[in-house]
Amino acid sequence: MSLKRRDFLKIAGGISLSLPLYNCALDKLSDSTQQNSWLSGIESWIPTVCQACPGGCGIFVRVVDDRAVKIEGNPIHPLNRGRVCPRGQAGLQVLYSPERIKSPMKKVGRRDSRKWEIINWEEAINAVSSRLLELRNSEKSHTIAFMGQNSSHTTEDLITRFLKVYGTPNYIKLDDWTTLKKAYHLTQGIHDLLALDLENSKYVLSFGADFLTNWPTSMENQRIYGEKRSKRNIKIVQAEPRFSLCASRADKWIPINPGTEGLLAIGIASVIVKEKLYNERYLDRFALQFEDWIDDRGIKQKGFKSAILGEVRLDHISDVTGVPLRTIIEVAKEFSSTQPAVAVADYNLSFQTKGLFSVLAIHSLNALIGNIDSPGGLLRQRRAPLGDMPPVKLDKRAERGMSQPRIDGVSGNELTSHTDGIEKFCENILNKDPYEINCLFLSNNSLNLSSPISKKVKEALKNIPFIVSFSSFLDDANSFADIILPDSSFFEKWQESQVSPMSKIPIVGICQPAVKPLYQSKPFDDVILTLAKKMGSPISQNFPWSSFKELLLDRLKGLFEAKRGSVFTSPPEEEQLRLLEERGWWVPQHASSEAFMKGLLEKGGWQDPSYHFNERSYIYQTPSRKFEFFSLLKTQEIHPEFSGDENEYPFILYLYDLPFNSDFNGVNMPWHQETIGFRFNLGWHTWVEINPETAKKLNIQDKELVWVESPYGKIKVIVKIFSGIIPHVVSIPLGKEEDVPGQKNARKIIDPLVLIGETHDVQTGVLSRQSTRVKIYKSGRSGNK
Amino acid sequence: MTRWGMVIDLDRCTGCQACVVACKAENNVPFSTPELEVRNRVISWMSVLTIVEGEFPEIKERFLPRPCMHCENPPCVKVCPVGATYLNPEGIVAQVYTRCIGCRYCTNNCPYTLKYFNYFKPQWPKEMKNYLNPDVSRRQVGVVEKCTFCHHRLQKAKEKARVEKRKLREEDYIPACVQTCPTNALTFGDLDNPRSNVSRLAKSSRAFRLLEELGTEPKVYYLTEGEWHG
Amino acid sequence: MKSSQKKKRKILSLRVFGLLTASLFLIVILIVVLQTLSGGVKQPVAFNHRIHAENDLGCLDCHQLYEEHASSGKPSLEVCSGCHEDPLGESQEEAKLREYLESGKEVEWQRLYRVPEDVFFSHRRHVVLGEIECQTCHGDIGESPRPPKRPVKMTMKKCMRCHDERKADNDCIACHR
Repeated sequence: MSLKRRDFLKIAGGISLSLPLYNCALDKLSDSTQQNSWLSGIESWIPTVCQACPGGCGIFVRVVDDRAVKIEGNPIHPLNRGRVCPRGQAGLQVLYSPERIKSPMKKVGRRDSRKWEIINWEEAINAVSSRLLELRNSEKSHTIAFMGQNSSHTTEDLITRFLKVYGTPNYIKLDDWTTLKKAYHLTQGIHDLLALDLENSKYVLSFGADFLTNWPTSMENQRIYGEKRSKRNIKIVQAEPRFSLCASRADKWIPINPGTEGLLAIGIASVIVKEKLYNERYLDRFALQFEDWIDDRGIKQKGFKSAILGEVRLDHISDVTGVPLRTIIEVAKEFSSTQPAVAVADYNLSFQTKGLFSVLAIHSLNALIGNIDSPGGLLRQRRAPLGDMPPVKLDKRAERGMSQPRIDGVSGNELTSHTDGIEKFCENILNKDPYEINCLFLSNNSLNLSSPISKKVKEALKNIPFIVSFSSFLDDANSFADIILPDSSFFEKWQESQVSPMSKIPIVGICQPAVKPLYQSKPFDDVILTLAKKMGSPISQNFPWSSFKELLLDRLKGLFEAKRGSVFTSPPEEEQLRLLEERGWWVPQHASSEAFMKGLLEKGGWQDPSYHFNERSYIYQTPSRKFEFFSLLKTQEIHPEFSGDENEYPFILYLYDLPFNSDFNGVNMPWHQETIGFRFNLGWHTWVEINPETAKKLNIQDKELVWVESPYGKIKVIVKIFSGIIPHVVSIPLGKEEDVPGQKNARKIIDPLVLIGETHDVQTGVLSRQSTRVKIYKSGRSGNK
Repeated sequence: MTRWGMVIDLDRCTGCQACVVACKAENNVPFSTPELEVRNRVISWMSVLTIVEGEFPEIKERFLPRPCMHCENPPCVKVCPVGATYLNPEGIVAQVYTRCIGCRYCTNNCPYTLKYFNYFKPQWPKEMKNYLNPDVSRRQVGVVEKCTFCHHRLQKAKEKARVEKRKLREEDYIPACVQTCPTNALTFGDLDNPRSNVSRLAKSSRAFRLLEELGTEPKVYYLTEGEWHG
Repeated sequence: MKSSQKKKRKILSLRVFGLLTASLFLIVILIVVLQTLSGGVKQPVAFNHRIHAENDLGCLDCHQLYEEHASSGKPSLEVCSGCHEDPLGESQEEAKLREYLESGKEVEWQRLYRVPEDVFFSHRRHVVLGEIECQTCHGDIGESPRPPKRPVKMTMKKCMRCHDERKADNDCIACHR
């Protein structure tokens, strides 16, 4: 045959060349997003609010035709001023996640099965409302519970109103920040968080507070950090067991043994007291029980000063905390001599056995140098004046229901108080104490079954005969639901989003839909309104609004009527407004309520830049109208406790949250997931951080796979040798190892929380995740997996 | 002449990753997967390098955000056999995907290792194709890609300025990473305009460039962390 | 003997080669046909450009975006309803349009002119800034009585010729994105 190789190549080449061409053409034609269908390509920018975390940054969503394609910051939103964090930047991955629940669903078959049947909205609403009416008519309205988390104010008011009118006190709200709120309540009598005035501060003493990355005000703090850093205008000292991202940006990192932050604060306080470095003028006017005092019975009691002078031994504190004596003294002197300085704690301290004590001790430092309600210290935000909803009319049934005690044992039947923990709630459900729960509502993302007590939670869920979930994603908790009413994402609905009280000025952002609700999802708030209407009189009479948007716009008019603040405006104008307002002047921007509302929706929201100092009754709401040291003096047990035998389990496990991932819930944001581990060059996999000294002792190499074992469980993870961790502590990040969208259940997920025992803060009862001991040993495999 | 460049203030950078994610969102870079990560095939036009110095407890960490350096004397351009990568008149090192034959000479010759090869066809779940930016093309398998200084934004900004019969202003053209940076660590603009922020900052005594000794003349400048930081 | 055998073999091999080339040719033709078929455009309503032009309608009357946007603008139902609110004639195609108008559902006009995915083309840049007539690229589509069957391919050659003539920007990334 004279068919030469060259000829063959020609033929083969011809075929293989033409085939891909054909494939290409088909590929392009079948893709509607790019070419074939004729889209107008018109671009619009919708001002709204990011709700990927509770921060409430102002954003613009770039919409091309009917697709949302990019998020940029709103330059005149006072919190983020045009900037967006990595989590926010990944927001559209939630909107367009392939894992979203696309329509209402009904459980088929057994309770723990994962089989669902698609139903329509009418059917779903009927099923829920008829069950609710049935319970109410048989005087069991109090046996329904609603579990929620991080809702906007108006949504919260709507839920509260619904539950009140229906007749149940069981609004179960989880909040990681309750320990801080408790501390402020005990010392200043307020049920609130305080704002850090970073802008005017010169010295920040942070006890493991991730204020640059994991606070609702992180974007504001980052901006101020950038500015002040450039001008060399701030010193940050970070005391924590692990060299966190915040610590790496601080001027000094003080490695400290886990759980001893409060003791360090006491040590610093003792230096301040002994050397009389405290602010005498402040303590005289605003503090109670600093000096010794005579109680009602005429007995002399020790004040904070004598208690500290009498009981605190610095060398002992240095031993327990692991902080050199010299450092303690140095920090105390710097802290008290730099004005203004501030000591900050955050939710991280809640997860220790002595969390509340720690926060109280840290907060007492602020009182010692008198920087509460002063520039550069801790301030209390004045709330935004949203309009009131009309008063509710309760019938006898609702009143009877509301008079029942709460299922989670929180005293008083105030719907607004946060729960002390999911644990008590579950125990009471299982024990039917004081009554059984017949129906549970789960709001979107409210219950994470990745928890040391997940067994108990699952048990409790199994015991509730009817569960309704508003989740937009199927997770473990929702798999118990009988009915799922999928909530829309924040790109698809109306909402109001006030910034957290940790920002010193009130800001109300308006969240408006950038795209129409995808699939069959419906905004939660509108579903609640529909439910209320469906249930008829007397419940429906309390909900006269045709849609949530109507209710929202109604309340927003309150901002115009309050005659303070303005819609978002340029920074120079904002400064002018602040100066005027703080001197008692206010000039209206808009002639009418309509013009105001128009401006509000265009610019993205409202703010009031002024802050009024020295309103004593607003800052101190204790009976004495003073800062009370008393609560700190009462605490006896101040040393941290750990579970697990020290000899068998030589290391303390320190679980921490990665940047911008404080709810360790990066689900369905693969961009966020692949980038948060950048410091360790690991995107999707989880790891354990070990000090080089420890690794040498255990003969463990970097990137090796090891077992981390506690008395409660064990996990196999990659080793990262890291000089930023104390030798006898090992740290593991939470929130890694997510599912890859579109490949659900494709791999085994490692959850570090299985290592945690049921230890609690002795005072608040919050589950402690930083008080378990572990051991580490080789798995015999290379970790380069 | 215009010469686009960037200044990165390392004093301000907190390594937060906002620039990295913003870049992926703007430029249709698909998300990675655990498998791609293990095989070291993750594409990220902007990435933050972590440099750890010292030992416990005197540890220091420095973050180095790295987009393409857009060299004035780009080594990648010299080796491209097909002219798929070239230095454009305004100083942008451009990459034309349809010309690229995937030989990877440029990826190997980039001393900063900031060019990325598409070993696999970029993929998105069907729903996620909705957020693709219509101004940026999706890449084919087998081509090299890299940071473009978001040049599509420049084309749009130029058009807008011309329609409004005015000159291009500095704020008209900002890459996605610069726009989102929470601490304002990134500054972008015309290095040849003496009044621009970038040209002012690039002349600062703190300014340096990566691997300057190679003579690549990058147009991305860094400002060192001050002594005060330790 | 030897030489004739050689000749025979040569003929045989030529035949085999010819057969192979022929089959290859067929495959290629098949592919081309398939491609055109699958790439064929069928408009939901056979729009008559000519009759609209004769009634003094300009391009901008229906394609309303090209002076302000990158896209020329797909005519919306609202644009059609401006004239066709009540029937104007007895054409079958108008009847189809009326059905759309009554149901309120947008007509899914198919795109005829395509540029490859990696090209950024802005109508505004060309029409407003470059002052180019629509006909320069779109030819006599305005005079066609019925929509063409095949999409019209814009080639880079055409682009470059025009860019050269007008001394327009020839930097690759001015168009390639």
